[in-house]
Amino acid sequence: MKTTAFLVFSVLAALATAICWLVWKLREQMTDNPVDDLKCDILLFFATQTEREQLERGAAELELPFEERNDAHVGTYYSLGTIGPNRVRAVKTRMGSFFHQGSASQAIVLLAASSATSIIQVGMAFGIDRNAQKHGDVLVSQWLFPYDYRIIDHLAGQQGQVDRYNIDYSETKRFLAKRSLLSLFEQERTTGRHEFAIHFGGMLSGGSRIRSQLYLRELLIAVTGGEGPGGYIGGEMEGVGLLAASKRAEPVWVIVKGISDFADDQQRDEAEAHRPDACLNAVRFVLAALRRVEELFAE
Amino acid sequence: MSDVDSYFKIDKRERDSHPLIRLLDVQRGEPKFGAAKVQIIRPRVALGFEPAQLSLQFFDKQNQIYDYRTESWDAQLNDALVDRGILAIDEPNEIERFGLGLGAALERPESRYGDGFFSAVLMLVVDQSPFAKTEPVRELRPYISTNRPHEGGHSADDCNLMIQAVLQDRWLELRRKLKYEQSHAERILAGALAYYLDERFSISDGRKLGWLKAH
Repeated sequence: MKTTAFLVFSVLAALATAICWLVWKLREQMTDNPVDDLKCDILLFFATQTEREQLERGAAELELPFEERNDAHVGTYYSLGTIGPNRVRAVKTRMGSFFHQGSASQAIVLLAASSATSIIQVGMAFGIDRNAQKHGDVLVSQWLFPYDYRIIDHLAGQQGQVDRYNIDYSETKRFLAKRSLLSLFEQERTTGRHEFAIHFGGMLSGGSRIRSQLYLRELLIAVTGGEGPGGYIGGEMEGVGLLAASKRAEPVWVIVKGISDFADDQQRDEAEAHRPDACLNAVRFVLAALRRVEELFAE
Repeated sequence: MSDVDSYFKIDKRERDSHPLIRLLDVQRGEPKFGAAKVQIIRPRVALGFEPAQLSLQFFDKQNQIYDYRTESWDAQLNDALVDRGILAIDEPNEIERFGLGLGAALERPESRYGDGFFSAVLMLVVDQSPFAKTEPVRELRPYISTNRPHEGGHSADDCNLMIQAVLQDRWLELRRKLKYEQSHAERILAGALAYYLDERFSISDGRKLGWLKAH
């Protein structure tokens, strides 16, 4: 009888301990004042599970926290604590800029909720030149070109020829990235030691998953008006959404992404194979740059 | 090289002038011209603002508006108008104008020192300035939280000086170029600083959503 009572007591005690531990863990994740905890200087945006995993890995390499938090208003976000002088939080957006929780809506909402003054979109992108770039190289956007914003004119066929259309980008403007973030990354490119190349230049941004080199070449010709890359280094899908969050003259964003593919018929296989390294390199570059600010100001 | 010399023989005043400044100079020579004033057009939208516009308005001697030109906000154009002593149409417009001007002028230190560091030093400067006690800044202050900057090196002092210089330049513009009386200039600069802080830290938007809590 005594043994049974002891067993029941032990099980109940273990159960109570487990419940207490669970409650404590939940309380730990649900901060007392979530919006205060979300307050930060820099928001890192990522869009996919791989990007999240590599962000966590990159943070671990620098012994930075990567703590999941939940907020009633904005949902799940991750705290990377304070890196140098910057309080850094990371948020997942939906892939692309469209739809609920796409980068556009997340950027608007999270800037208001966090009082952040900068957004860095990290992750993977396509490169545009296999000869000059490699998988895993990191792209930093000096400017962004929203290629979905264009005029498509009808061209009536002359002398029995079929009707065609013309894509006109004459009213589409480049959007410059935030200067202070570019300075930060230029500093890192100069002083940091990385095993991958870093390219600064223009990024094409839009809603398409491009798997055709022919389309990409035509797009570049339409955008630049010439045969060469015209300063463009790659393209991606989320950056264009960040334009919704700030005035053109006072941008709050920059895009830093690793090359996972080259937007051609090998895109699927290459993206699958190179996605983790591409994301990790972008994350390493961003976090190293943020960490270096601390050293600079401590000198 | 003589060709190049003659090619660049352009009136420097004309070269430096924005088309609106040239228009202002022309209007000032008109017999009916009484005054020119600036209006800032920047309606609030659900979150944030529409892009800012600057309207230069011309008034006759009976203070009736007879012409105007509206352009996208341009900090250099605004500086040129301030240099020529052109006031805004009223105090709220002057506050908005100087708020936008502060944002443009503070871009340099922000670009040099980066987000977190600049924000931290900015708030140190604000807290130690006479503006900390003014109503518009005091009202916003509880909603702004920043880190403390690293104070072991010279960077915090350098950043501090750059920010103070920007504030001082705006003060001198108000007092010397626009000839505002001290109390009026104080109200405008305090309002402009609050306008800048509100936008920088997304305070109005956060409050609109009911998400910001005072510290």
